[in-house]
Amino acid sequence: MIGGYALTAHTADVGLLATGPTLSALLVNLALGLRAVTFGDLSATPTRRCTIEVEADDLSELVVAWLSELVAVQEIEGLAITSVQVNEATERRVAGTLEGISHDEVELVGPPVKAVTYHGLNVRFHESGWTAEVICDV
Amino acid sequence: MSELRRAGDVLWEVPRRGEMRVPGRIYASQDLIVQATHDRAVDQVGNVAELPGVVTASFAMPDIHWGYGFPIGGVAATDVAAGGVVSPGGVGFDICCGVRLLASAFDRTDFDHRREPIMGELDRRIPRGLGRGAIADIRLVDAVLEQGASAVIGAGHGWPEDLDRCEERGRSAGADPDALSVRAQERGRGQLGSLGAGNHFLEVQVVDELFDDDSARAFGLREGMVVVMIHCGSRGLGHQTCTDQLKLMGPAMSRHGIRVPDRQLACVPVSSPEGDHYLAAMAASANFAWANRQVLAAEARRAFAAAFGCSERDTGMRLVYDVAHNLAKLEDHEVDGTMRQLCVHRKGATRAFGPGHPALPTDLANVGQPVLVPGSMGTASWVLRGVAGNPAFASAAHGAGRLMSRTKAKKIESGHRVRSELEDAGVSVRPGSTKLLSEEAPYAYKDVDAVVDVCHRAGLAARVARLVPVGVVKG
Repeated sequence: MIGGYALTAHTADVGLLATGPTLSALLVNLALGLRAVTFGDLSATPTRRCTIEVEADDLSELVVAWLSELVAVQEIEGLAITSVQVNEATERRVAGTLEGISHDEVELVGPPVKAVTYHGLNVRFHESGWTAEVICDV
Repeated sequence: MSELRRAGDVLWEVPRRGEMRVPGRIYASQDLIVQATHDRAVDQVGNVAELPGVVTASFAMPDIHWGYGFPIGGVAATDVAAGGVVSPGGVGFDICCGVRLLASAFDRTDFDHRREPIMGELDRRIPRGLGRGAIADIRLVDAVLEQGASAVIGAGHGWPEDLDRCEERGRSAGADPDALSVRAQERGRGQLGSLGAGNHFLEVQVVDELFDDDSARAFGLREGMVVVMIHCGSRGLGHQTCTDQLKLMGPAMSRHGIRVPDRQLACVPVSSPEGDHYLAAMAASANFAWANRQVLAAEARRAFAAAFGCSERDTGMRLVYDVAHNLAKLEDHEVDGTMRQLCVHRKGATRAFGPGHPALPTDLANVGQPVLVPGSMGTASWVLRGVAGNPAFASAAHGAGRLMSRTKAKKIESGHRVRSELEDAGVSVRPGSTKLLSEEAPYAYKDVDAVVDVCHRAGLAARVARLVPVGVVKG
């Protein structure tokens, strides 16, 4: 795994595996992994910026809510994410800032993510930090 | 890994175990069942069999593969009066994703003479890829959510008679736009009349071979005819609606005392406030999908008319049929000798009503419903017809079914190589992104002819016509 995330095989869709020493780092790496499904390892000077905030009843729901909001924002704002900052993270709330460019300026390297599923969802804390596995519908 | 035992020529059973209320039944040849066991699809058939109120069996079509919650190719019916549930995971995120087929007045030689203008017009006119870009005016969306395809026909996108050849006449009953979130409407508002990406496409095909002349004639098909197939769904509006509903159903399941083996199978009783809410939101999303395919079909007619320098009517691009393969529907079926109202979930499976069904168009009443089974970019697609006695709640396959992951497919060939091979084989390719082509390469899918053979032998649907691609517009 390079950069805290990896894309994993699924017959119809795309799996996402992310790690992080802290919950904030995990959420950042999940976001960058989600970006990588469609845009790869994107590097560009950002021209757009937006903030997002989600709440959920538990950590698993929070991971799905966070990624689902990123999917919606990417689509509605026409955003290809270049960087993600998590400003606040608890197991029930996350607030972050996204920077990016218009997705019209980027050639897709993979399919757009339609949605984030609960199938195979696994979020866990262990000695070296956090790990999450998520399957995205594409 | 779930146990499997052979139960017929092309039928395999997943015996009941644990919390399964009914067995699983998978229609597959020896080769296809081996492919189905390469991932978790068979386990998912067993998981679906645990849904409250499920009757007869958890079915899977021959294009079965690993999905999320339901397997792709999964069919399950729940008895509404017996507390049967509706599960958004049995519909999927792309609510009412489906396929539409247009006939034409043109033959292969006509296409070959006008290949570049036709593909150029389609390339220029058909929005695809990520996010926004739509043919239809966003002001139509509100009417579309309630009225479906008829709302865009009224605005000039198509012909009134198109509705005669749409499942449900292109309108799902019970739609409530207020059941959609603001987010869902924001995502869909700029996407009415767009393909999307992934496995969605608009393909120009030629009728290669007829297997049932009478049915083909009734469907308006003849050998050598150029046809246009469109595969897409409800875009971001549907994706967000499923996301919203799955979130709501977590706590709702607790209220109803329902437990499922996979959170993605979240469900509530059909007869409950939460069930009503989901079905109303699903129907509004389905109406967006019916209208989306209608707008794209109208644009394809405009493209052909421009390329041939004729009127849209002179293209002869009548609608053969439009059918969904991601939907839950309330239908009457016989269970253990009595007629029951069932909530039939088809997740990557096509409705396939046989002759005599009251939902059929009048002129197809004695023929059966057209069943559209797209292949992959370089292989055949099929037109089948519904037959009497279908054992899986009038359902059939929805495509070839994926054989390998996208990551694996990308390692085999580059998108440029895939495009080059298709062009060499006589298939003009107009991709939204060339890099994405390798994920959708023909080798990433199962043999669609083998899938159709199983449908035919199992009595799911009967062969009518085989179509081969000559041009593809990909998202």
